[in-house]
Amino acid sequence: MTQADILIYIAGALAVVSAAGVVMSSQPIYSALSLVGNMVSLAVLFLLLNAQFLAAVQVIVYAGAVMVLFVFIIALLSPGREDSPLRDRRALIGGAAIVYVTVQIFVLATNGTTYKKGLPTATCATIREAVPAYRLIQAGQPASCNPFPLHGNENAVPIAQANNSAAGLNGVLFFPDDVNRVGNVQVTGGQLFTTFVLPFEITSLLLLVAAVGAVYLTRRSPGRERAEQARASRRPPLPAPAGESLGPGVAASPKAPAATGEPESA
Amino acid sequence: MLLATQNLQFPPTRDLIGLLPELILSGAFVILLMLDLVTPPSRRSLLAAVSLVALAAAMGAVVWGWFDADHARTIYAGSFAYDRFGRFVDGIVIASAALTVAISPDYLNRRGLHFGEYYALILAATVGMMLLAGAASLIVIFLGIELLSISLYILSGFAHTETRSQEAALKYLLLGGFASGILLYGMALIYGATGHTQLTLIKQSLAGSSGTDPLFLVGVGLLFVGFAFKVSAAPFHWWTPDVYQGAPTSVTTFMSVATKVAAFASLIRVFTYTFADSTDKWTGIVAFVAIISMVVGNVAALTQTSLKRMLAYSGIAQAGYILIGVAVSPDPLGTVGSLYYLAAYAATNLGAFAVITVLAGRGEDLDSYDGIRGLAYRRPYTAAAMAFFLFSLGGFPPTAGFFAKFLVFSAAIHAHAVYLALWGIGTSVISIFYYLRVGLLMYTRPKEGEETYPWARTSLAGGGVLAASAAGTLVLGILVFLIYTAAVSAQHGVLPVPQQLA
Repeated sequence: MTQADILIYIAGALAVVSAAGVVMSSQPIYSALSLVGNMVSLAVLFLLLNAQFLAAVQVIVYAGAVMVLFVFIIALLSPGREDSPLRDRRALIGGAAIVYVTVQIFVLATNGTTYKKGLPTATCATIREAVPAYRLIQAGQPASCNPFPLHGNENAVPIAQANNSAAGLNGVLFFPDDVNRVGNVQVTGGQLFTTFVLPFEITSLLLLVAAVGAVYLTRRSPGRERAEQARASRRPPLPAPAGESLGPGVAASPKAPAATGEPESA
Repeated sequence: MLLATQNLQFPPTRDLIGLLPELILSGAFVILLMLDLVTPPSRRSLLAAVSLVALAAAMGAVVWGWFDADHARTIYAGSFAYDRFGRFVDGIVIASAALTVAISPDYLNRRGLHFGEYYALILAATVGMMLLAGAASLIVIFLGIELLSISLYILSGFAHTETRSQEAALKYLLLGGFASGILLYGMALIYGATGHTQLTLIKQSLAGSSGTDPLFLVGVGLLFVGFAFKVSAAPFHWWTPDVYQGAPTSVTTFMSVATKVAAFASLIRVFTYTFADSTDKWTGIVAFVAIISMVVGNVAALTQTSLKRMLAYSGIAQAGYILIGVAVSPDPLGTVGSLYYLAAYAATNLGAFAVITVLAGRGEDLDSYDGIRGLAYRRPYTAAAMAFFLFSLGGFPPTAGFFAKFLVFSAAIHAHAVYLALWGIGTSVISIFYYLRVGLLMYTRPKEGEETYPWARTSLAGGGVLAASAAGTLVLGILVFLIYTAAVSAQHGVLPVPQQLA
């Protein structure tokens, strides 16, 4: 057991514990903080998988920027305590059952999968020779010939040899040593704008749509206010609490408690 | 200098041609958002006209692409399939979007929901569906599903002063997000087992193995659950009736048809063609889900008293029939049958929902069975169109529904899965009851002094859309070879290419 192995177990355990904390905390703020812990543990895992850039992005963007926004919003709305799912016995049993089944499936899946420890050195050399991307960066002797740090897949070999030749595919396998030599950021950036340029562009459209939706669903245009006023004038007093007709999920919206609270205080 | 060492290959510029329809609609999406700012509220129908022009242009690009994509190829480094299969589905999706946009202005005005974002979001959802239909990489499949889903979450909650619409949006968002998570998990496992996200490379890497890698099989199972949610197959259908009922009817019209078509296209591409070498491992599950969907959809539809919920359960049952075409893979007849069914389903179901949209008056949405009682005596043509669509959904000749069912069932028999055909025929008989029940209600003369629902006056656009859907249903039911030949041609060119042809 190397140091990396021990670290993987520690980070993995932390990730699981903090993920459980996200769903089991009774205070939203603790959920958010658990999520930060989860993201940091994942960043450590990325780091151990030779994805330094991804690890840094995970910490800076997710744990840093996105979660700060989350915490801000939670502090602004200051939602009350919620019942911890640990109190609800049915939820607990159901959750435990799902966890058990999932764990069993994945134990079965991982046990049945035959992992190979890296590729034979000869095939590895062939790949490096065949793929032009590697011919240039072979300055030193590669220490490891394992395309995936944890487990190699022999199926990958013919593909790596065939890549670039057929159908204009850029499906290059990356060896950690080579990536480290060129630079993590360079490889990620290069791939993002060549092999994965289409998904990259679709993501930008996706974010635009999400922004449009957020603006639409939260804005109160004059037309809509008029419609609401007209409706309010038609039905003079506020009838039954608006919260009652909502589904169980909708009742959690910030408006509902105020609406139900009024008749009680009156 | 460092970049040069990677010897990067940028996708060639001609790849843009393959994405022409998507690019046109994405451009129109942005233009609509800006036009919305300068268009006075009374002139918002102009935005519908702009969307229709964009959709027509995209349709032109798709038709041109159909002939250009004679030699199927992947573009953008294997991320997107430029083939006739994708173009066939794109055509259905764009036509559905155009018909939906055409009936929307009147409906939205009556409901007081006429905002410019509506058209932009419809176009965004269309782009998502087209990307999904052509996606040849797991990443693009996921992004396509997300693009169409997020647009539809917002559109479901478009009437955001109505609790029911809000509830539909929230329910769709939560369950949809959960399904996306499962789908993504499946993709991650498949990537772990094969080492690739591009379908062509996944297929290559599976070619050598026996396909019994448990990691891969668990991934396939999770992926199927994700897809089954999107096509609303039982037992992953719980969101469907509530969302269809709560969303504004014009949105339901679009969502019930186009989402299913696009998601099925991707399902067929991934399962029938990419996982072709291990069909015996997963066809059993698909057949099981198909049977469950047919039974649950048809039996639950019997007890409904809401038009939208009835059509939602009917849609679940139709998903079961379409799944038969996937369950009989690798038989190519199954794919042809499914494609034909998708076209027929699109024309028919769009028509049925369009009738409800066109008739919906101010205030309360037309939804309950009582709302259409005696329709035939006030709106004879609309009632006749609705009856025609119901006949087609029930699978009577000479409508689209008959030949769609015929092709799917004959594919099942051809593939020696007679039990699937028997289940299909048996459940189709059940379906006749609830379709005829609605049909009979329309032709029941209202009693003296009984108030009927205040149906809206059918506008020129509304009548045109109903006529177009009816014509489509009739053409698919009579000139069968027109679409059948196209479906066969689409099946021939589908990517990832079968191994021996490569």
